[in-house]
Amino acid sequence: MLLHGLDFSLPEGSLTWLQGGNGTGKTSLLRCLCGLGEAEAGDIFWQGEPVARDPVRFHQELLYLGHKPGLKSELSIAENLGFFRRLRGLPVIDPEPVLEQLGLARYAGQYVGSLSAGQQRKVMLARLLLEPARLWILDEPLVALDHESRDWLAATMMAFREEGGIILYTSHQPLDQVRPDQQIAIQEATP
Amino acid sequence: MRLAALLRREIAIAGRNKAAILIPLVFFVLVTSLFPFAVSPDADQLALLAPGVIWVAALLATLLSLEHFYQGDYLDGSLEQLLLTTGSPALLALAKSIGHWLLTGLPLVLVAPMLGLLLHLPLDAQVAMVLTLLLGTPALCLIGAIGMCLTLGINRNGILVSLLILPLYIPVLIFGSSGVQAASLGLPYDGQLALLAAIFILALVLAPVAAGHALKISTS
Amino acid sequence: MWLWFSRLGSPKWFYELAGRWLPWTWALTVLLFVAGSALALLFSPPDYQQGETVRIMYLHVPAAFLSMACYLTMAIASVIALVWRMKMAFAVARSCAPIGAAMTALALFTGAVWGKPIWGTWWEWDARLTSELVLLFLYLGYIALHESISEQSQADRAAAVLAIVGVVNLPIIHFSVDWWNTLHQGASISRLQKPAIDASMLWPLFTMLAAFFAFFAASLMSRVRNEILKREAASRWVKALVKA
Repeated sequence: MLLHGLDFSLPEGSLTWLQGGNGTGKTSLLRCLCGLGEAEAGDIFWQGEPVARDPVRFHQELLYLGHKPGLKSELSIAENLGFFRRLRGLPVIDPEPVLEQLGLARYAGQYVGSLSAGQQRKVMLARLLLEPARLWILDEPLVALDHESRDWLAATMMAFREEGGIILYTSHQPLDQVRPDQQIAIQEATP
Repeated sequence: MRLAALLRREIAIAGRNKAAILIPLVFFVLVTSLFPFAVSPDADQLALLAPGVIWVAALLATLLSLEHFYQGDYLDGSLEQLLLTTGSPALLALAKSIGHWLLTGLPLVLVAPMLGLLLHLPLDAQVAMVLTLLLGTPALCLIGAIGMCLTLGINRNGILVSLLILPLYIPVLIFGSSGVQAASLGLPYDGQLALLAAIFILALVLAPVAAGHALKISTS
Repeated sequence: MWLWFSRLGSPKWFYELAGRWLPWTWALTVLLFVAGSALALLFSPPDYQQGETVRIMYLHVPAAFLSMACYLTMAIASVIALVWRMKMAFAVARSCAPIGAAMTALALFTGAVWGKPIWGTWWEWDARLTSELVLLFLYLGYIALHESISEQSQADRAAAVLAIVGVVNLPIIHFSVDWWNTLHQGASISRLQKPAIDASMLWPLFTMLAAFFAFFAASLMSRVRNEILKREAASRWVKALVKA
């Protein structure tokens, strides 16, 4: 899987939809931007500074949600979400209001391991509102979501953009309620 | 502070999964208690073997418990989230090693005197054993983390980790068991302790960097 | 300097250069081996203590020396590869491993053959032999790790980290084994440590050492060329080469 000749910037308060067929390297590109995986050549800048110079600050402002929810099944929803805040050096807050929006409030004390795949994805999405970040990188956020959660996600993304947040996401199906400001399409190289 | 948060997380998870803490301990006791059957129940012979047997068993228990502390986090994707939220792979590797030691190494050290009794180890040697294990097991956890992090993406990596790590464990084993041996002969063993401390400090400084690098490679 | 460095990083350039040098290096290897063997077998005196068996030294010492040098080469190539992201250096490091493992095995084998008449046993837990044994495990670990990871660049980088960890540990392992050995065996090992070697033995030894180094260079170049073909199989110049 090789990508080359990529050059793009994500302005503040913008939504960017990364498109491309299966196996074109969308996920690799997103992971590379996050610092999971290295590019063979090229640089990533955050606010004019190369990310490599101050990775901790960049990671403070980045929230990446990938294919795996990244939750511990031995811990409850509230504990899982609390630890992510603590790891960012923030005080733990009550996740109840956010879980309420996602219809998960009554499960807050339940182990993540006992939830369905769709519910686990929702817990993962709850992090969007619980951790202050300026850049969201979302890899297929719609997977395993019901209609109401999709509406919620779309509204959340639009609100984040209004506040000046930056979103880069991939999705097989278009997010109906969201109009991306920018589209990047990866094409397979013609042999 | 991030270190503290990471440690709290490790301990909370272990608290829900107590079997994972107990299994290495039971393994430690079981392997050690095989030797009287294999060799002889004769007290003198056992006392002679005890330092080596207990050290090898502690080493294997540490090695085999590594998987539990890393593989789960790798498979459910929380390892990459931890890497992203902390932004420092070396810090994450250090926290994992400390957590691993607190939850496996330290209990091994606490159980060891009981095994010393079973193998008729003299009292002086018991003290030496606890001291050498206290300095040696953290080094084992730190060095083991490198091998574990290098092999995270590989299926059934247990034997491979052993192949990578056991040669690196040799110095710790040599100084650890010879310290106990020296004590059981009534000889001073502060030299061995000093060497173990040196290895521990070296491992503390270098191993998290290597393991952190390995983590980045394995999650890419 | 920089230009030279970046050219070295080009697989095609290295492939062609090594291709031109290879016949000469192999010729030098054969020449040195013939000369060294003649010196070692015909023109050097038997040892006054060990008799004819001392001639095993002319294989054992160069093999042991090279086994270490090869690990060092592998580690240095790994550092270069990781720091400057040089793909060629990964190929060099990977190619070093089997050569080094073979040298270590040869050193162990000749050590055992030498040990039989001298010590009366095939294996003695002598400090140097034990260190060689650990070195063999380190090589095998490197190869096993590299082979176990299917993704090429991930395998390269993981194995490189292992090689560097190994080279940092090697002196510690060597020291600890030495320490352990003197603790348990006292003076029994001094039989292998010859304080001074007579000039009549030194020349054959040097010639054999040179022969081993020439062999290392030649086989490394051959292996790196193979690695390049394997890794660059999709590139245009390799496809053209295969067609021709």
